[in-house]
Amino acid sequence: MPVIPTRDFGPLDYDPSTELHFPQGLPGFETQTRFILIEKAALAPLMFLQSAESEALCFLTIPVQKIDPGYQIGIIEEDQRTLALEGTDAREILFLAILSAHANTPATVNLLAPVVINLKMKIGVQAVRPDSRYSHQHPVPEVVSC
Amino acid sequence: MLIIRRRAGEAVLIGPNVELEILNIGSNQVKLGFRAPREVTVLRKEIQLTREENQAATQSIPLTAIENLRQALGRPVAAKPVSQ
Repeated sequence: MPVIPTRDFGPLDYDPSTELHFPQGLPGFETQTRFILIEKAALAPLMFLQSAESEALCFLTIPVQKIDPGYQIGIIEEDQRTLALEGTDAREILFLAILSAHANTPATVNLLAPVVINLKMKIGVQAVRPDSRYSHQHPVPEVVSC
Repeated sequence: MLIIRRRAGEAVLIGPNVELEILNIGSNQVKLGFRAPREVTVLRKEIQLTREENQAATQSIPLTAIENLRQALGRPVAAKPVSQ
């Protein structure tokens, strides 16, 4: 099995068929198109979105549901097409919020732009909402804060 | 803030090279068209906010914090990539 270098877990065995393709990269990281999602039982519900191209690039994420169970989805048409959402079972779609933790300040998540992943097609997009209903710096509730 | 009233089909000029045309006005959305040189970046503001936030997110999560988290939660278990 091939091995991938990761920022937080050292080299990991991985199955290349689980690799996720981000056709547009992520804002600020447009050239990074290949990622793997790493989960670790002891750190659930956190998930690590690790670049398959740059060892140093890894986003700490958490399912949007864990932050706001009533989260209203808002994805622009272009992103819906990229993700091939039409006709895809909702259970195959993962919504992750990127966590940002600065020293001495509470952690925040970006609910303005959730990372949406079509697990079946292995396609991901950071779907920046068309509206300003949610903040890009939403405070993390105590329950899930680390 | 400069405020100008425009109807669909009308335009404003920004600087010597940028034209912003109001293409269509819906009930809760306005469709805008931009004519600008290639080197002028036109972005939805939310994308710029997200770009900055992404850069902060990758730089600000200290590895030591994750390590502390791992230790606080007990011995590291084997991490594995998510599979179906």
